[in-house]
This record gives sequence, structure tokens and C-alpha cells, in this order.
Amino acid sequence: MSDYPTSRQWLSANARRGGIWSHIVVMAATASTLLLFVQAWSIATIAQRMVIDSASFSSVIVPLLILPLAFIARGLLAWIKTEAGTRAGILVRQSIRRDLLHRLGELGPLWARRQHSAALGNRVWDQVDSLQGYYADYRPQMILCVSIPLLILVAVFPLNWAAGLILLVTGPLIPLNMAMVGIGAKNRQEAQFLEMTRMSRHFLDTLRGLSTLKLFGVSRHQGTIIHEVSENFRAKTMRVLRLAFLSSTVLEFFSSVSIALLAIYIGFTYLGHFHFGTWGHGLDLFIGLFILIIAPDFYQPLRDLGTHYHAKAEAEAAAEDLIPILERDIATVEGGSDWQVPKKLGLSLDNVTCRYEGQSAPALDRINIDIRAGETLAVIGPSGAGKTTLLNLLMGFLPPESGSLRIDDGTSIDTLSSDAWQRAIAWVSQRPTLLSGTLADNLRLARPEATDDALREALEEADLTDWVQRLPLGLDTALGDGGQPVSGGQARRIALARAFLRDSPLVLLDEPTASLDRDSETRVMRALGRLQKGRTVIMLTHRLELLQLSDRVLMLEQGKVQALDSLDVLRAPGGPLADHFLPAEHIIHG
Amino acid sequence: MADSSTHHTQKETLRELAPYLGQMKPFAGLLGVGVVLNLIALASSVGLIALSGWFLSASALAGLTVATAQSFNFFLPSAGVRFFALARTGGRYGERVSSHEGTLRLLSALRKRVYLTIEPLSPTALMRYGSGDLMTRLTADIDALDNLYLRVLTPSIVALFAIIGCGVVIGVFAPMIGVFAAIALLLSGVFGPWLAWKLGHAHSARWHTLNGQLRTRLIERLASLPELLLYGRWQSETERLTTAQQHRDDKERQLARLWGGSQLISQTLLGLTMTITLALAAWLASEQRLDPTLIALMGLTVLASFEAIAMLPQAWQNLGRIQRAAHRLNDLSAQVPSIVYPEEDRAVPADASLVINNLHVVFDDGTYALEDVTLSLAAGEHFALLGPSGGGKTTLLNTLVRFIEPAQGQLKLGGVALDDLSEPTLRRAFAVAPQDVHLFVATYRENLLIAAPHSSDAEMIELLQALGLGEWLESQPQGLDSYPDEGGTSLSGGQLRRFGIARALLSQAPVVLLDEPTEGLDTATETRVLNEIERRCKNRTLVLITHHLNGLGRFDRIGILDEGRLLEVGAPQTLLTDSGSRYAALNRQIVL
Repeated sequence: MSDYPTSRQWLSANARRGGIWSHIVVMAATASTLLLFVQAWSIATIAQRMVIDSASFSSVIVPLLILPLAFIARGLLAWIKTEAGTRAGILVRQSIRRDLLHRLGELGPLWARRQHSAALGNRVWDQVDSLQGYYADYRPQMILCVSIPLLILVAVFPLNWAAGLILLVTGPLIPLNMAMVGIGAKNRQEAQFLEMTRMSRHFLDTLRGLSTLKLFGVSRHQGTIIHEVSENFRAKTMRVLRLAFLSSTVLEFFSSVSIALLAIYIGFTYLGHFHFGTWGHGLDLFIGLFILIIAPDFYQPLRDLGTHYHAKAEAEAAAEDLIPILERDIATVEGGSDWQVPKKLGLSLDNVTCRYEGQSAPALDRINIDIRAGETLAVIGPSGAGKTTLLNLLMGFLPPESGSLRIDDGTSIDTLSSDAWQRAIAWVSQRPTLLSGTLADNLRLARPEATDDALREALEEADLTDWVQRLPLGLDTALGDGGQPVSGGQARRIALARAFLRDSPLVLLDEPTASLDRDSETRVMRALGRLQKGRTVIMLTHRLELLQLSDRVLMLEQGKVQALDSLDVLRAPGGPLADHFLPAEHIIHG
Repeated sequence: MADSSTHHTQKETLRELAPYLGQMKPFAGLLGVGVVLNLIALASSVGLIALSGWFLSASALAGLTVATAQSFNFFLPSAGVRFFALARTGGRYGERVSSHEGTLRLLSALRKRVYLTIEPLSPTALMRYGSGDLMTRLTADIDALDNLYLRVLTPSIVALFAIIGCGVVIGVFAPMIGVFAAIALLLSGVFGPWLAWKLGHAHSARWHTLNGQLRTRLIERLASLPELLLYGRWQSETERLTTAQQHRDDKERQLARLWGGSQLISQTLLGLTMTITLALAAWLASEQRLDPTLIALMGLTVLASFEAIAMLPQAWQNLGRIQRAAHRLNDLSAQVPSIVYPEEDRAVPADASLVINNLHVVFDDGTYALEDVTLSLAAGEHFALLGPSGGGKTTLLNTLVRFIEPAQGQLKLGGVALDDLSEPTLRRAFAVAPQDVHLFVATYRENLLIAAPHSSDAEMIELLQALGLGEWLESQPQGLDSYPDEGGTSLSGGQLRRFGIARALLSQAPVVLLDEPTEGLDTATETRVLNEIERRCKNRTLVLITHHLNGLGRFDRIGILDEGRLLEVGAPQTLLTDSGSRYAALNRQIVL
């Protein structure tokens, strides 16, 4: 964990993904300050000519023409700044999101399953989106906090050192002021952010648990509790805020006071009360007004930084969640892309041990099995015996800790990338997923280039033809969210149809008939009978009918092989399964 | 939903916001103080810069000769400048404190109100309606609503006053320029943002639609990660998601472009306002009709007032977001059916017997979730309900607790129809452990006390131990006072279910409903849990949903629910001896 970069380092390191755009933001805003000088020049010139020089109206026509142009140019720069900031943020987000999705593929389903899929979605989607404000606004603003005040000092000092000094002293040491604003804004935003999040979480928690609250008859009362909790949070937040606002008030104070001081200093110099600060070349109305007009912008970048602070807090929170995914070390095997999937495939597990991350007991403990090409192997065992681990191992989702897994042509699987090896596998899970898309899309998952005829053939094999014929759009019927409803049995058979389409030598099945209705169970069983021909089939099951389809039965217990033989042998009197079948009277009470 | 909001007229927007505006009434004082202080701060800000501008011009003019310089009264302007500097600082601070106080109070009230709107709705319908992320969206929507005051109303009111104030300040010296400046400022503050809002509406609605679709798709794809990886399709899915995301981001860019454009329009109009104000003032001064020292004052007043107007675009943007949030909340309460209970019980149940007669429940798509289910359970009977997933078991349970209203048929508890019972009576009658056990972010003790507020620690600990959670409890740093981890990792799936069972068993309700309580448990633990359930439910009516066959012999009767129909009901031994029964068929399996 300690090897991970801090969220601040990580956020900085990723800024380069925004490319040229983040620089454009800074340049546009800095250029805008230069145009502010033009505006101030125009206004000050007009005042100088009209008030002091008593010149004619025609003498101010030039500044009057330049002034609106300066405004238009600043508007253009504001436009550029907005768009460039947005683009920078978008580029960073897109690039991080792409990495994140790629990374999820590398971390694999075992890792992903430990996260909640909604929580994972929230990270990939919402957390990445919440980086926008940081890259579009906060980061450029940090640079502007230095560049704009500097630029203003550079403009003011040659005109009048006393005025420059007032700015320098009241905004003493910009970094210090920045830190102060930072700390103030940080306390404030953090307190607010924290309380908002806590309140939202409490509210969310209540809504999620609404049915539980209802079941226990306390849901009505919860309205009052929500109010109480919110009020509690309010009192606490306000205590922090009252203090935290003080620090931004300090900045406000400095900026107000410095303008007041400038006005008084300049005015008193005009009136002849002060005689310093002018480098000896005097102080006219033009210089005085020019300085007065640009002075507020000396503090503006700092004030803006405070308003973007929540973007930083949000981004740092998001970064903390994203870093462990993106910076995690994983070993991947490249290679084996030239490996030809054989027609028939046998496997041998040699002294294989598997262990899940963070667990002390191995899930599979030094097992040795030969799986013959073309056989159907049923796997049984109590929960926790290692059945699912065996499937995960065969699918390449869980690398063995020790021992080797070899194909009967002698290739060791760990020399193949998981992509290459997975081409040999078809899989029917307990809860096959249907993606939103057409039926054809869902089938082509297993074989993208399959023709419509091939799809129909697979549907026929999976006993789905009569169902498809009743669908309004046939293969083009939409499934998934908002589409044609699909029962558990139909979903299972769609997964079987995928396995037929895939036409791979190795088929893995996880409880293919569990919790199906009677009709579906019969159909799945018939389809299985067709699927097992010529393929190596490994299925987890407890159902007698399915065990009878198998050539051999593997009994696992606590990660070890307990028995491996044909069902008849195992069931024979004295065999390990002799009295393990249910309709025997005495088990009912067990 | 975001799409439909595009067709909304201004009037409808306001009508949808009306209830939330009404919520502000109790806090009007506090919020009003916030606005007033904000105005003071703004006025001081304008005053500071404008007065300084005038002071400079006047003193520079006076300084031209020694006589005028010495007679110049600098006390008043310099005191004014110092006053404005302090008033601006104080006003800003006071405004921040009071408006945050008001907003947070408002938020508390708002949450309660929204909760009370949602509470009577049917929980199952609610879940279906929003398919999961509804809750997250609701929370975000409330957060958006609280911006109504802070980010829409206050800036708008303040901007309005700033415009009027600017007009008045200038108008005192030159009425014509004052009127012009006010009107021109109003235009430059409102026109650009309004145009962007108007044009951006379609983009932002489209953005929301795309965003929602993509998010849903991403979560769906993540749930199918194993299949997609195994079939080598994750890479192409990632690419497709990335491409689709670019469409969404294009909308974001278009919105940024519109806002940038609106800034250009505003700046251009401001520039013209400034220039014309200055030109008019300079011309009047050259005609000797205006004191020339006021030229700078007028220009700087316009410039400083614009600070308030510059907040308007944000207000427009927020208004759109708030309107969508209000629309969704109003829409939700209008579309999800609420379940009505009588205020008082119309009769008192005689015992804990349950009668289900000719029950039909219809799905949204018109198909039957339950079809003609008839079943009577005697008080104290233990009944196990088996069947494939999607067969209607959970629907039956939800109908019994009135989370779902049946299309047809009667449900009776102790001879009294369920809809004759008030909600508190109904809740006291049933102890339920649903499949998805929700742990609140509260201590484990508090989580258990929801079911039985008067249970002692000893009772809770004993029950948890009996359910095989003793070791788990000991591993918790502060025992019952510990908090569950937010990610939900403090309990495994099986442990969480048992915690839910403990909750239901602590309640003394006469009817106990358990939905797949032993899912994810090994056989030994399952047997232990079933023993405890049996012991605790003596003399209570028990309905237990399961698809595990282990230990079902202890139940008085078993029913099999398949495709919404009750296929068979009978004592387990009787069903087993009938080799044609579904129960016997299911039992032809290995038990390890």
C-alpha cells in the first residue's frame, strides 16, 4: 500500500494527459490580465484628459474606441479559457477511464467480484467524472494565483513604488496568502464536503433500507430522525464554518484595505501631503486611476481559487479510490498467440495448489488429476471444497500458486496468455448474463463472426427454436434492460447456445440445472447430451440425472481429491457415495 | 426523463419548483438577512471603488493649485473609503454565515419532506422503477435542490439590486446615463446567459440521457465481466464504451462552447455599456453639464456592479439542474403507487393462521407473477416453500407484507383481511428476513434493536451465537458496539443472511417469514441454523423460502411454487413416497 503515490502526486502526474489545453487555459487568463491593463489605460486616459487636461471630447475618441475592443478580446479569451479547460478535463478523464477499464480486464473477475459491481461502476464512471473540476479549473487557477499578481506588480512598480509596496505588503508573500486561503478553504470545504457526504450517506442509507424499516414498522418515525440527524450535522458544520470563513474574510479584508490605502495614498499625494513613491517623475491622475483599476485583480485569482477548492477536495477523494486500482502491480503473461486450439483437449493437473488473496488455507491443495480428452467429468463436493476454484483455475482467472497445469500436447498453460488459452473454452455459468442488445448480439458474444444460419443452428441445438419463432423480431429481438423478458431457463439455454457456437474443445458448466423449472430442466439436460459429444466437459452438479451423463465423478473435499471414478463405482455398496442419495428415508431428518 | 424536461415551459418549471420554494418560508428571516448582508457587501464593494475613483479625480483636480488643495475636504471621502472597506469585509462574513445557516436548515427540512413523500410508496415498485441507482440519484437531486436558494435566488436578487443601485448612483448626477446604464447592464447580464441556457438546454438534456445510458451499460458490462473476459470481448467492449463516451463528452464540449460564447456576448455588451457610459459622461463634461470628476465614478460603478451580474450565468445553469431534480422527484411520487392502510384496525386477528385464497399477482408487463395460489396455514404451522428462482416465492412473501397489491384474491391473518389492518398492527404481526439484508450505518446493536427495541445485550449475543455468529462477533473490535464496514465487507454473504435471521427472530411477531435464510451456508451450518429457527418459532407460524433440500423433513408441510403456480403441497414424507412428485424428483441428488 505504501508504494502507491499520494493522491496529490497522482493528480499532478496525470495532468499531462490534458495535453496542450491546460497550458492554453493559463495563457488565455494571463493574456486577459494584459488586456485589463488596456482597459485601465483607456479609462484612466479618459479621466486624465477630461478632468485634468480639460481637453475636448475628440481627444478621448481613441481610448473610447479601444475600450470596447479590449472587452471583446477579454470575452474571447474567457471563451477560450472555458473551452480549453473543459477539453483538458475531458482528455484527462477519457484517458484515465480507458486505463481503468483496461486495468479491470487485467485484474480479472475474481478481483472484480470482491467489489460490488455498482461500487465499481461508480468508480469508473462517477469518480472519474469528478476529476473534471480539478483539471479544468483548480490546477490552472493555482498557476494563475502566481502569474497574475506578478504581472500586476510588474506593471505597478515602475509607475509608483509606494503603490507597489502597498500591494506587496497587503498581499504579503503570495504563497503565504495562498496557504492561508488554502487552509481556510480547506477547512471550510472539507467540513462542508464531509457533512454533505455524511448527510447524503445517512439519507441514502435510510432510503436503501426503507423496506427493512417498513418491515419492522419504524419507517414513519424515520422522517423525524432524518431531520434530527441533519440538524445535528448542521450545528457541527456551522461551528467549523464560522471559524473557517474568517480566513477568507482576512483575504477580503486585505484586498479592501489595500484599495482604501491606495486611494488615500494617491489622493493625499495629489493634495501634496505625501511626497514619496513616485521615482521622482510625479504622479498624475492617469497613473493613480490606472493603479486603482487594476488593483482588485491582484487579489481576484486567490478568491477564485477558494471557490474551486471543492473541486480539489472531490478530486482527491476520487484519487484515493482510483489509485489502488490503477497502481496495483499485476503480472500478466504475453504470448502464445500462435497457439492453435486443438480439436480435442485433455488436461493434467500436477500437484496444483491455489490460494485466494488474503487467505491462509489453500482453496485447492496439491491436487493431481488427469482429465481425458472428450470425457465428461462431474465435480461434486460440499461448499468450500474447491469446486468453483477449479473452474476459476481452468478459466485462467486464478493462477496456480504452485504445480502445473498442462494440455495433453505438452503445453504448460502458464506459458500462454489468458487470451490465447481462453479461446479453447466455453462456459455456462449458474447465472448467465444477458447484455442489453439483440439476441444475435448475445449469441455472437461467443463467436463474433458467426453467420445467422450458424446462430439458428446453435439455437436449435440448445432447444430454443420454438421460443425464437415466437419472438416478434426473431434474432433481432432486443434482450436485457427494457427488452424481451427472459426466464432463468431460457437464459441458461442461451448460454448453452453460446457454447455450441463457440465450438471449443473444453466446456465448463456450473450447476447447469440449478433452480430451473421442470420443463427447462428437461430441455437443458437434452441439450447437454448433445453438447458433450466430442468435447471435454467439466460440470459442477449435485443432480443425479446430470451425474448419470458423466463418464467420471470427481469428489473434492477441503481442496483435496477424495475420489475420482465412475458414478457406478462410487455408488456401489461400500463406495464413498453409497448412501449419499436423498430419497433414503433416514436422511430426511438429518 | 431528462428528455421530457426539455419540452417544459417556463411556467411548468416554476410550478414544479413551487413546493420547494414553499419550504423556504420558515427560514425566510435568516435567508433574508443573508440577502441583505450580501447587498451591503456588494454596495460597499461598488462604493469603495467608485468613491475611490471620484476621490482620485477630485483630489487630482484640487491638487493642481495649492489653494484648492488646502481647501479640499479629504476627511469625508477618506472616511467613506475606510468605511466601505470595513463594511465590505464584515458584510461578506455575515452573509456567508447567515446564508449557510439558512441553507443547511432548509436542507434538513427538505430531506424530511422528500423522505415523507417516498415513505408511503410500495418498496418493491420503487426498486423496480429505479432499478437500483434511483436512490443515489435521489440523494444527488436533493443536493441540487438545496442550491435553489444559495445559487439561484440570492444571486438573482442581488444582481437585480446591483443593477438598480448602479442606475440610481449614476442617475443622481445624470439621469439619462443612469437609466441607460441600468438597462444596458440588465441586458448584458441576462441576454448572453439566457441565450446559452436556451440553446444549451437540448445539449444538456441529451448529455443527461447519454450519461444515464452509458452508466447503466457500464454497470451491466461490469456484472458480465467474467463472460466478456472469457470470450475475449472485454477489449472491444472497452473500446465501444470509450467511443460512446466521446459522444457524451462532445455534448459537454458543446455546452462549454455555449457558455464561452455567452461570456463573449456578456463582455461585449458590458464593454459597450462601459464605453457609452464613459462617452456620454465625457461628452456631458465637455459641454460643461457634468462635473468631470464624476466620469471615473460612473465608469467604475458600472464595472464593479458587473461583479454581481457575472454570477447570473451560474444561476441559469443551476436552475436547469434544479428543475430536472424537482421534475424527477415529482415524477416519482406521481408514478409509483403508494399503499394505503386504514388508520384503525377494522377487526382483530383471532390467531396467527394465514389464508391465501385465489391469489393473482400481475407483473408490469401483464404476465402473471402468481396465478391462482390458494393455501391455508394453521396457527403455529411450519411451512417450507420451494421452487425455481423466478417462480414467485419472493413475490408471495412481498404480497403477504403488503409491499405488492394483488390483482385478485384474498389474504387473511387470523380470519381478518390484511387490508383491514392498520400498518402498525400488520408490521407487528410479521417478522421478516428478506433476501437482501440491509445493514444500516449504525452499531450492530442498533441494527438489531430495529426489530425489538427492548432486547437485552445478553439476548442478542445468545441468539447470534446460536446462529453460528459467535466467532464473528468476538472478532469485532467493539462487539455489538462496532459499526459495519461501509463497503459491506465486515460480514460475508452467509453471515449477513444470518444477521437478518437474528433480526427477524428477535421480534416477537406471531408470523415469521424467511426468504432463503440458508443460502450460501455449508450443510453443517445450515442444519444448525434450521434447528435454531425451529426452536425459536415454536408456536409461531413460519414460512421459509428455500431451494435447499437439506433438513426439510422437520417442516409440517412443503409447497412447490413453479411459474407462479403452486404445483404441490403436502407433508414432506408423503411427497417423497410419491415418486411422480416434483419434490421427489428434486431429491434425486447427492447430499454431501
